[in-house]
Amino acid sequence: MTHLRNVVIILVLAVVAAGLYNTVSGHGIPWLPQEVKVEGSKPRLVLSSAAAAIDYIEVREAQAKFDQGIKFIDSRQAEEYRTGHVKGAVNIPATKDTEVIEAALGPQSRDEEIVIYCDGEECGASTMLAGKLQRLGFTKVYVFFGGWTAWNTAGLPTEKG
Amino acid sequence: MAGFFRSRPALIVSRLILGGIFIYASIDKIAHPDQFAEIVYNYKLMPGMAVNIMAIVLPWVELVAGLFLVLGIWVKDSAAILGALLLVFIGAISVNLARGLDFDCGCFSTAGGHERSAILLLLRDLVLLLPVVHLMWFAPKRRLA
Repeated sequence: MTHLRNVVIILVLAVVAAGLYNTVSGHGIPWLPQEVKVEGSKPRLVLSSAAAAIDYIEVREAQAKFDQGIKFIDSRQAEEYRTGHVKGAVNIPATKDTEVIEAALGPQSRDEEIVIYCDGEECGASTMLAGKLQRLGFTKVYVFFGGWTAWNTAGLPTEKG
Repeated sequence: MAGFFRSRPALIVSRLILGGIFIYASIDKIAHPDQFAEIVYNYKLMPGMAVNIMAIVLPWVELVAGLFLVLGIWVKDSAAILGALLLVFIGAISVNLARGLDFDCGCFSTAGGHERSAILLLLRDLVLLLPVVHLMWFAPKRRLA
């Protein structure tokens, strides 16, 4: 019985520490994910805390922004980007640290519109990167929900390399 | 042979290796909970609503049990917890290997990119079960191993 008691104590300690840290660390995530619905797509759970403040757009809006010459950021890993991406998109993997992201964006106005995408509806990299950009002060960040898959399916302009 | 396994130095080595590895593995996940949550999500093994709870708590279980092992407190119990985690990891990797799913390990790093093949991950977790078995079998009942 003491073994069971000790195991329970260790687990309770871990849960309490995790809860405290998640609350005070400043980069915690919500205990329950948020469901995001975008026209024409299945609802997707968004895990990071950024979801609430982000504008999600679908492929037609993304195309309109593309036609206006708004900057696209591909938040996938470099090897995925190389095999094909939205024409003119810049690759900034969502897992990079904020200093790297800031350097990659260059001297860009914080009020300029930015569209971020990843693989498709099932990926979370775009929301993650959008959250990081918001913390850097960018105010007009859009997540293109259908991402690379929807862009490709719609036959919109792409490039490799 | 049993005498060697029961010896204090052998038990200390097992404690430090197993505890140290789990402490190390917990740090990056604790630092990047959003990235770790995405990795857990991509294993596609639990209801979406439970993913964040797992991502918040799991690294702290690794850290606390790892610290207890390194410090020599409740050695058998801490080893049992880490052993149970290893079995869960082995199960999760096996299921996704069988499904042919593309997933990130998220074992030591949340930075993405595939760390190594799933077969090697399985082997590594199986090897890590050795110190678990050693400690659970031979560690003395009293609190200091």
